[in-house]
Amino acid sequence: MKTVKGFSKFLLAGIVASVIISIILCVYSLTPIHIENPDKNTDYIWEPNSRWITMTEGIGGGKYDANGFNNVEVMENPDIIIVGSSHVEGRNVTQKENMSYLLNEMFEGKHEIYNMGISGHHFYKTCQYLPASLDRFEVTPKLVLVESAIVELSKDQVEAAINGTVEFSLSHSEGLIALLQKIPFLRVFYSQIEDGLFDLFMPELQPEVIVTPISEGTTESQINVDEEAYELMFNYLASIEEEYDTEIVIFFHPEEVLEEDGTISFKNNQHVSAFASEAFKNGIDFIDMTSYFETMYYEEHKVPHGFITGKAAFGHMNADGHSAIADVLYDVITKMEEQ
Amino acid sequence: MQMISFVLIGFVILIFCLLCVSKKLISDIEKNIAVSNWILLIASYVFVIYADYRFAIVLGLITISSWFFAKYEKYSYVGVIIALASLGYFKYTNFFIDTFAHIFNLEYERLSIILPIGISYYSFSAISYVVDVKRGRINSRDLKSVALYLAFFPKITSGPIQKSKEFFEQMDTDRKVDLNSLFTGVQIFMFGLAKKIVLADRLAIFVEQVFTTPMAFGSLTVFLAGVAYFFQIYFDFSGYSDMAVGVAKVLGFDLPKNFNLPYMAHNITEFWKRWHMSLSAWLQDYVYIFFGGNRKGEVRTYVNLFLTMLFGGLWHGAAWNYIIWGVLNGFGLSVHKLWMKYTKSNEKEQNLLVSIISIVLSDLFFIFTLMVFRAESLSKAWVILTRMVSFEAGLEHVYFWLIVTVVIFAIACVAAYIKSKDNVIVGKFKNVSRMEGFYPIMDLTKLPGLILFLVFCGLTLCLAYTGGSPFIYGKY
Repeated sequence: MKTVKGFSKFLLAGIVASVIISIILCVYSLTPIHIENPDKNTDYIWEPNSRWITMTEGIGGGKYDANGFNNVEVMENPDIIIVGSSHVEGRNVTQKENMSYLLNEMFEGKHEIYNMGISGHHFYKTCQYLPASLDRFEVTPKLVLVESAIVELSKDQVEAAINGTVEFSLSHSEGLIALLQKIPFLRVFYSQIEDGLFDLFMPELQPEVIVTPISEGTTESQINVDEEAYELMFNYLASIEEEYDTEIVIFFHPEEVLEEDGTISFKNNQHVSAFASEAFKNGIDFIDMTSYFETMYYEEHKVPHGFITGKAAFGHMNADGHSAIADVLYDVITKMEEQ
Repeated sequence: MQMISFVLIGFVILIFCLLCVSKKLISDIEKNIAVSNWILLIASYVFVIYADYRFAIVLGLITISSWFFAKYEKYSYVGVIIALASLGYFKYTNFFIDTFAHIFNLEYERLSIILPIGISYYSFSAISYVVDVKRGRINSRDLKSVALYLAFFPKITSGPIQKSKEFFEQMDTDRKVDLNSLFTGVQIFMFGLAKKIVLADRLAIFVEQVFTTPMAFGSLTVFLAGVAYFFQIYFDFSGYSDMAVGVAKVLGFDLPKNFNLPYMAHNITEFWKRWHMSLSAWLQDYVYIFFGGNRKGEVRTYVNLFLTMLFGGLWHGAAWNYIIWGVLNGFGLSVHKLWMKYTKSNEKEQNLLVSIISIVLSDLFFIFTLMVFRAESLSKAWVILTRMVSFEAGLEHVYFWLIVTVVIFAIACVAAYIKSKDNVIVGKFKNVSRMEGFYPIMDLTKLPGLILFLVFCGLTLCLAYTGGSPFIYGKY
């Protein structure tokens, strides 16, 4: 009897504690659930009109629009769309700091720019969904801004993108799992476990980390470029431009690395020339943010990635990064109009 | 078996159950104490062997030598020498070879010596036992008692360095191992765990980045990283100590408090009475007093202070930055002693403003010394210190978790102040803080206490930094 009473007390305390923790965590990390995208132009969309808050990486908040994208309001027929990954989605900054919002502000109604960035959608997946992204509007947008954090392409992945077979992320938007995801405590706890919370308590099982140094002095001529992959990808993108009578602009933002001597270097950009030349050959505009980020660092002492909740120059794009990209895109679009 | 691991948690639960069963089955108190001590001794050696069986051999040899030589007053110094020599061999051999080869420009190969788990702590405990027997503070004990004193697993890896008298007193009594001790111990353990995995580990991210690439950051950020390290080392080490105290409590032992709000100290002397208290007390008892303390004139007092702190610095590791860190603290203590002498400020009541200034200055001094302590080399320490005061422009990164830490720390200080407000000051040192730290222990048999504790546990797990980082004092 005593044991039953003790267990009941513990259970009740657990339920009450979960409620209290959930209320507290609402200001720390509030993540809506994924639902399958009815327009099939992304793997998923966020629950329409749901609020989100993040303090885990960056500090931000906002409300998804009725289409489940990170915009202040739905645009039925935007003339410019931005597609890409979580960087574009901009859930690590406030909604009014992301690049699409800033562009809308800069153009003062002259253009309508619609953000269709979704977390987990890398360059290949974004390209796979390009036709569907354009199909979903009655009037095809004149310009598509495609974000990429990579310039090294592999043939297998390009073929998967063209054939529409890039790995699909499932949404669990029904039943018990959907319900459990709506409890902030369980959601955060689950993501902590995914991030390795239990590994902290199993140090004996941790493999020794072997850091393989990146060989210094590797020049682009020494880098193995899969030319066929580039050709395939840009032919595909050029065909979309032609078919939909639109223009594609790809903007690439490399990851920066702070060096011990106070200088800055960039990762993942060894293949940038191959990428740029193939884009140019196929009439696709390409923006490499490397030099802008360099100027930003040396002149303004700012970096485009990283937040005050973690490391500087690490992780997702911060408000300065969004602002820098918005500035560059604004200039490029303005010049394109002039031409 | 590390302090944060499921294996350790399972191990402690097993030992707790065994102690409870022994208490239930053996009605004779004397016999039960003996059986409990055997259980703890075997568990402690299992703990050490789990890390490496060779560590148990070293521990066993030091235990036997301390037990043996303590019995013979005439030869007790041999026990001290063996403990010191073991520590010296395992911890400092390569340092001396490096230094010697560097001075004489010789080519050499470093010896592959592994540092036995907890040797820095149990060798000091061994010295404390031998010296206390020699000084007549305690009677010599049987081998089993000495072995448990040195090997007791909650404190073996990072202390606290408990005085032998206190430990033996508890060993000989009928300790409480019940649901109450379990609840209290678990709460103290969780308190320490939260300090470590939520605060210290999150601060470590910022500190690591800024200290690795100080040239990329502006002066303000480098200074803030210094402040972050100041909090990181406190939450890391005091978190570990709390966890050790918690585990020991579950097993019926009370380990001494190792920290008592050190960052609220008004001066460096008071700081060292509040920071790593078990090591400070050990150094005072067995080094400072051994050198003559303040009984051999003014100059000798200052020299003794320097030597004691130099020894304390060297204890942290075989590197020049630790030695210089020790010397800086010795210097700070001497300057404070001189200040007290000429201003007679220890006889005056301080007002609030003077108190705040004193606390801030003491903390700034410690932050400054920590830059030397933390840096990988003296040249790196110099780069960081110059960057900090050069007002150079660079990235400015006001780390969110530093702000959170400061807020939590301030709330904890206010709570401690309210709780210790009515404490009576004993003696003439009116400028010494009255504040005492405490563990917020709740009654887990009552629903509100249980809910609060579960909320605390849930938030700890949800806010923990999952990347992890080793305990700073684990390597000493």
